[in-house]
Amino acid sequence: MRLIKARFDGFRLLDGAEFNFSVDKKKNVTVIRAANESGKTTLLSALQWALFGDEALPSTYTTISMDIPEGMVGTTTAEVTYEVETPKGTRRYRLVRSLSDRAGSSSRPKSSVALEEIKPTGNDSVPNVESYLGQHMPADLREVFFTDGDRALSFIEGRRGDQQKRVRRAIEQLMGLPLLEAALEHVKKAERDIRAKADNVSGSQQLSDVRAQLEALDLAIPDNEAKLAATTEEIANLSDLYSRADRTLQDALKKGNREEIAGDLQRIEKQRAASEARKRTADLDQSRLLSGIDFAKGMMGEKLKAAGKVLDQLRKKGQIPNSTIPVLEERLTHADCICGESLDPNDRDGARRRAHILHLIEDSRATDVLKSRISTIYYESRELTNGKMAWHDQYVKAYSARTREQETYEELGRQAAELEARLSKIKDNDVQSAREMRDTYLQQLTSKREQATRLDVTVRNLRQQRGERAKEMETLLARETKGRKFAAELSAAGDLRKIVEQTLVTMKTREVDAVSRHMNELFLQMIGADPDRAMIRRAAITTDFNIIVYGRNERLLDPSQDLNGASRRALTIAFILALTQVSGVEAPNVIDTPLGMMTGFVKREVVKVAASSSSQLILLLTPDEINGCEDILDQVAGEVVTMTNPAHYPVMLKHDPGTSDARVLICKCDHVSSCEICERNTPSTPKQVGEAA
Amino acid sequence: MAYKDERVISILMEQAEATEERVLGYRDELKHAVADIIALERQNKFAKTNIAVKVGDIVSRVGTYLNKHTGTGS
Repeated sequence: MRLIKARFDGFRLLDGAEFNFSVDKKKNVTVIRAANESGKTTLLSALQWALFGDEALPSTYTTISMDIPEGMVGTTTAEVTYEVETPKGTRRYRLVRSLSDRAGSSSRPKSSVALEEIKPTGNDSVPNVESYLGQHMPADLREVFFTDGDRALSFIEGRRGDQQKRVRRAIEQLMGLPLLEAALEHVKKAERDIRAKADNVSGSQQLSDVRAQLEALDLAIPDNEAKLAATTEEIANLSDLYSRADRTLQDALKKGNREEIAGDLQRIEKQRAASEARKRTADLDQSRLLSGIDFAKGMMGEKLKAAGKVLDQLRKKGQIPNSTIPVLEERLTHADCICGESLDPNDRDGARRRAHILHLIEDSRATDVLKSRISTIYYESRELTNGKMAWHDQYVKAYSARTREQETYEELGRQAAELEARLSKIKDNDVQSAREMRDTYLQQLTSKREQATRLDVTVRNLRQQRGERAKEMETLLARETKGRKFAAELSAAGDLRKIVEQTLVTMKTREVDAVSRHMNELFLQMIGADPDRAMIRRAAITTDFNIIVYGRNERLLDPSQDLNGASRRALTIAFILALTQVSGVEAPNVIDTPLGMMTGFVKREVVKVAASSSSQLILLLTPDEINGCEDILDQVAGEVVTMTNPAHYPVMLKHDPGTSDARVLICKCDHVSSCEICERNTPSTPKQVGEAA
Repeated sequence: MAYKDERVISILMEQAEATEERVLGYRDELKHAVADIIALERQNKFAKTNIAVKVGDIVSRVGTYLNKHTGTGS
């Protein structure tokens, strides 16, 4: 299906607004350029209303112009021309939808619709319009083909269970799975009907019992399957909640546990007190070194050595030490002299000798003061000049120890201050409550997983029982002549059921895998990820319909948290494009503001990839989104128009549009040109404003 | 934007091909039956019909074929 043109009258800001869409396969992109509040989203809504009917808009959505006074009636009309490929060739249709509504009414009236096939011989009115439209534009596919950058994010944002539902729904609808599910239900019903008929005809109690068992199994299996599906969804949500709670706990733990930090602070304070004591000891050691003998040695050592030499020379000459008097006095206390002669005072010679010694003592006492002082110095300086001169080494050691201890003391002080600051920021129960929350989710998750396992086993057992009972019924029927017909029909029904069931399984695995692989290719291309070096390595859709992303080392990333805004949008656009391509459904992709938050490479690649992956692409872009992609749009855009809101004059628009009506003006300006209608004022930067002033 | 049933049909055919050939031509009967059922389901989506009865008739058709050819050696 391709859109050819559309016209809207009285649809909010769109009045007399005509658009031609590119059907050129080489230039398959149509660009609607419009600044914010210039009708892009209105156009997206208008197209959906025209093509899909009233259900496409919220019931409270008012289509009529805001200029219509309260109580007055306004009319909205949409006219869309499109073509579809059929086995008999391309057919072109013209659709007109309209409604009249009273301004201020609380609910929107139902629209009327007319469809005609455009033929060279004249237009043919099409009966059963809604049925036709349903075939051309199935409502199930609307949200995939008509979207905006923000809404597309719902595939990877919000509650995990909701994300999965949206992804599953989108995939199932585009792959036609609801059709298969409906077929399966009808085949199962046919199977039940055959069993009932066989039971009635045979009248066998055994057959009746088997049939009753099969009926019960047919009720129990879908019941348990539904419970399993619900439990699986709960597991997905709980996994999400658990992951978030665990992340919160990790964050809280990074900030620190209040008790742990208080403990750390206490430990640091103790260490600091010990360090202070050691520092005081080091101070004392250092000061002791400055007042000890070693300090004197250190300071005067060299001079004293020189003096020592002089004193030694004097000693050798016998001039020092001045030891005569004490020796002589000491000798007088003895009865004999050192030479052996008597010093007995009672003996005449002894008395004479003692008198001589006393005389010598008197003579010695007459020796000059200088000699005495030199002797004193000699004796007292020997301590200062003997032994090792180790003071310098000891002082260096003491100084280093004191400096080191000072540093330790200061470092411990810094650590204590940091811990005190952290302590002041942490609420009392941060870690505790985060841990409790995580553990609660983990407990619930474990319980749900066990429940899911039990349900899975139950479903398998029930299916096996059904197979056995069905076989038993066929066997019982085959014994009777009139039962053989029913046995054959039951075999056929069973085979048909298995074919459809297995096809559903295959579609859910093989085809989802195909969408997953294609989405990954498009996504990596969009973000320019190098498979060997990039932070983001690949994206995938899991079997339970989660869109996930892997980083380096196969690390699982949460797209809603671990990807930047541009990558998130690129991922969802890649998913939509992959889905539409794999499904084979040919339809226009209409995307409002797809390039928000994107710049540079990613933005350009998204435009390129989207253009090459769509059969027809209609982009509703702001001038900022276009900025940097002009050359690509030159190559891929077959149609470009600009919508301008006259209400933007004079603040944003350069020229007076000549109207203040609440309706956008459309000009033929492309993505690089501007005219009297659409030319906008260049936004002033603060610097420019300053310069102008 | 119309649905593309080709993929669904091709997988249904694969699955039918993998089904036991209970009697000669049985698989072909199954293939025709699933194709008819899908066509009916698609039709029913846009214009409601008594689809349960119609699917029942198709199942009965395959069953009749099977019964007819069982024990005949053909």
